[in-house]
Amino acid sequence: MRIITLVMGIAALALAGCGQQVIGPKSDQKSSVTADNNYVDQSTPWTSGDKASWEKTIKLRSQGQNDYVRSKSL
Amino acid sequence: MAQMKFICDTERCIECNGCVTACKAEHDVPWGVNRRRVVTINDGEVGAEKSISVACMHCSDAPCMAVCPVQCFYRTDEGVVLHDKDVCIGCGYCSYACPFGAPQFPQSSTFGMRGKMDKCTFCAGGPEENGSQAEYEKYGRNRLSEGKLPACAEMCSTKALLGGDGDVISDIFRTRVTMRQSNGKEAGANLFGWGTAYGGKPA
Repeated sequence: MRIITLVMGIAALALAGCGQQVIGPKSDQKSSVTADNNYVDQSTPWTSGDKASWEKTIKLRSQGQNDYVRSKSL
Repeated sequence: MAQMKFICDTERCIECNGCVTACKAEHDVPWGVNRRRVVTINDGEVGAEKSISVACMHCSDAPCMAVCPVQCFYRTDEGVVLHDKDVCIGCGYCSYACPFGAPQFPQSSTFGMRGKMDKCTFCAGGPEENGSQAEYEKYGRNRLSEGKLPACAEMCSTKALLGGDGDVISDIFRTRVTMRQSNGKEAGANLFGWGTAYGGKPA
């Protein structure tokens, strides 16, 4: 009986290593959650956490890369 | 839903390395690590010499994510591929898998001790509180949560490097190509890395 218990104990210890789970990354905040610093663009504010209004802000800013839109305002 | 992408217009890139400098300064990237770099091909061939600004393209089906043995990568709702440095073991598999050579490893000592992997975050930080000091120290600034676009694209003097929502930047690029064609110039419609990263050309 002792031998069986001992063998089972060793087997349980040996298999314990196989049960390790991959940790994976921590959960991240959404990009629409306003940064906690003083560098937030105040010209086109959005509601923190509101994805739709944040996307609108980003799309508006993207047009700053469009020379043809920028040159119209000259 | 916005899906963030990069486009480098080879007809406009003048190899000024402004994007590289902007990235290094914005994120306080250490020596030996270049999240973005400018590659020039066909040196000296008149008309064929092209420069391309290259960094992580945040692939739709990212090979780095597939090969990571500790699954430290994740993808945001906007399609940005990020990683958790607390989980990364610095094995380097991602650098072998990446077709753009994006993953970088800081050398912490003379004898090749590799640190945690570092790469372009599309200025979206990492899995820490948005805009926090902890996030800045590990991943650099989180400009997306500040309502801004990647520093490299916004600093590009010729607007060769476009970054942002794929629909918006491909519209901007398409307008340029059309304008060049209508003026009888080289269209320059070939998008470096677009097919490899996103599985096809923009609509």
